[in-house]
Amino acid sequence: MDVNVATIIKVVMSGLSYSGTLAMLSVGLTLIMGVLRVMNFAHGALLMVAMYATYWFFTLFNIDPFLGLLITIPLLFGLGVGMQKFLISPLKTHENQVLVTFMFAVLLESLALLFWSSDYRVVETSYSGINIHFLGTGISLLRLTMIVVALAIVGGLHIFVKQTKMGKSIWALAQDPEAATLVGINIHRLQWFTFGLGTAIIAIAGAFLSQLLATFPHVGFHFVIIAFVVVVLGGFGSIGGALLASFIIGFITVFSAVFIGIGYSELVVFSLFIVILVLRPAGLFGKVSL
Amino acid sequence: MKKMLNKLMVSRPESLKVWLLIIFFGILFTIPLWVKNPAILTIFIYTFLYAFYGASWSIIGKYGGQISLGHAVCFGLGAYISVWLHQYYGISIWLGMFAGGVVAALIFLLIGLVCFRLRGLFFILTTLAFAEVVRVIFNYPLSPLTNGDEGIALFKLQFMEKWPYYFIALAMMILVMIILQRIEKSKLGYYLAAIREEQEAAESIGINSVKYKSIALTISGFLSALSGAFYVHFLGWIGVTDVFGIMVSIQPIIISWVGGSGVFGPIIGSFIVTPVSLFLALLLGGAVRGLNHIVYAVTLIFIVMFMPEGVTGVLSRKVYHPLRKRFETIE
Repeated sequence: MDVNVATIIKVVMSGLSYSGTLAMLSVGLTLIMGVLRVMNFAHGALLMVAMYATYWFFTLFNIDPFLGLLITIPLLFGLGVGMQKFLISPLKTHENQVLVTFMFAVLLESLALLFWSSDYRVVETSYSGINIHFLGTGISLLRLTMIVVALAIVGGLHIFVKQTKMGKSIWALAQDPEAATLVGINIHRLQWFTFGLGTAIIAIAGAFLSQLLATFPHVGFHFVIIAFVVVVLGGFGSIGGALLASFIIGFITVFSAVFIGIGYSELVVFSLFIVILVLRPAGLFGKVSL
Repeated sequence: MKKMLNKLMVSRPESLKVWLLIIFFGILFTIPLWVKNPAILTIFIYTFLYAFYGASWSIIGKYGGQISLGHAVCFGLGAYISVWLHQYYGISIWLGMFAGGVVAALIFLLIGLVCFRLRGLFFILTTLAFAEVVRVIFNYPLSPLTNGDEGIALFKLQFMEKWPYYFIALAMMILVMIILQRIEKSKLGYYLAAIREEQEAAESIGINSVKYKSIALTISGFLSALSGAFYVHFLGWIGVTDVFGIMVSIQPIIISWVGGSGVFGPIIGSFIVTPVSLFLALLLGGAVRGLNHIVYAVTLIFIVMFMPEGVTGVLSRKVYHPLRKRFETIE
C-alpha cells in the first residue's frame, strides 16, 4: 500500500470516528452494566431501531436526523424504561436477564426483517456529503461532528454522575445497592432512569450512523459485541474507562482492518478480549466487578 | 391384568417412569415399520437430533448453570472437520465426527479454563464473541475451502433411505439420555448442582468449581460436535451460516428452556419445538422472512418470564406426581 500523509490522515480519521461511535454506544452500556449489573444484549438492536426511526422520519416526513432526535430520544428512553420495568426487573438471576435481553434483540431484528426486509438503507441529507479539505485529503464534516458530540456526551455524563444529586445516587447504587437503599435512595426509580438514560444515548448515535452507515436489520449485532469488549476493557461502570477503551479498540480495529485485512479486525479485537480476560478481567479502571 | 399392572407399578418407586419409557421408546422403535412417508421420518430425525443437541447444551447450561451462547462453534467444527476428513482423506464420516468432537472439546476446555475463573457473565460474552470469530474465519479467510454461505453439496450420501438415519439419530438420543442420567447420579452431577446453586458455598467445602465446570463444558462441546456432523451429513449440504450462525447457538437453549432440566427436559423440549419450527419453515418458507425467529424469541421470553421450570417441571408437578400417587394408593 502506498503510505503517505493523506492515507495516514484518512486512517486516523476513520479510527477517530469509529472510536466515537463506540464511545457513544459503550458509555450507555457501561452505565447499565455497572449500575444494574445487567448485560443488555438488546443494546445493538436498539441502535438498529434508532437508525430505522431516523431513516423513516427522514424518508416519510422529511424530518432532519438531528431534528428527529426530539422524537427518537424519548422513543429510545421509553424503550429502555419499558425493558427494565417489564422484562428485566421481574427476573432474579443474571442468566435469565441475559437470555431475555438477547431474545428481545433477536425479536427486534426479526421484526425489522419482516417489515423492512434486509435492504441496505442510507439517509442522505444535504450535509452528509460535505468534506473539509485538509492536507490533500477530504474529511467528512459529519464524522468530525460525531467525534466532538461523542466527547461531549461522555463529558456531560461524567459531570452528571459526579456533580448532580441524581448522578451521585446512581453512582451510589453502582457501588452498593443495599447501602443505597439504607440512605433513602429510591432504587427502583433510579434503575429505570439509568436504563432509559443508557438507551437514550443510542438515539444520538443512531442519528449519526444512519447517515454514515447502511441501516439493515442486523446492523446492531456487530456493534453490541464490540461494545461489550469496550465495556470490559474500560471496567464496568467506568465512564472514563469506556472512553479510553473506545479509542483503544477503535484504533486497533481500524488499523488491523487497513493493514491486515477487513476480515481480520474482529479476530484481533476478540483475541485482545481473551487476553484482557486472562490478564486483567476488572478492566483498566474497574472498580465494580460483576 | 390391571391388578398385575398396578403391582408392577408400585413394586418399585421408579416403575411408573420405567413403564412410560418402555411405551415411549417402543412406539419410536416401530415407527419406521408403519410410517413410510419420508417427510414425517425427516421430522422425527430432526427431533431426535435436536434433542441430542439440546441435551448436550444442557450439560453445561442446565446442570452447570452456565449459559453458553457459542455452541455453534462446536456444531460447526464437528460438521466441517468430518466433511473435510471425508472429502480430502476419505475417512469415514462416522470416525470423522469423533475427530471433530475432540477438536471442539479441546477448544471448549480452553475457553472453560480461561472463563470459569471469572463470573458467569464473562463466560457468556466470551462464548458469543468466540462464535463470531470462528464464523468470520470460516466465512472469509477459509472461503476457498468452505465456499461461504453458498456452501458445498455433499454428494456422497451415506444412505439413500431415511430409516438408517432414523435409527442412528434415535440411538444418539438414547445415548445422550444415558449420559445425562450417569452425570446426574455421579460425583460430577452433584458437584455441578452445588456450584450452580451457590458457588461460594461449594468452593468453601473444597469443590474446585473451575475444574468441574470445565469438565462439563468439554463433554458438552464434544457431544455438540457430533450433532453438527450428523446434521450436515443428513442434510447433504454444508454452509457457513447454516452451522455457525447465531441461531445454531440459540436452538439448544430454546429446547432446554422449553423442556426444562433433567434427563427428559431437552427430549420433551425438542418434541415440542422441533416439529413446530419445521412446520413453520415448511408452511411459510421464504415467504415470511424472520417469522420463525419471532416465534422462537417470543416463546423463549415467555418461558423465561413465566415458566422458568419448563414443560417437564410443570408436567412433573401437575401430571406425573399425582399419577404416581394414585398408583401408590391403589394397592
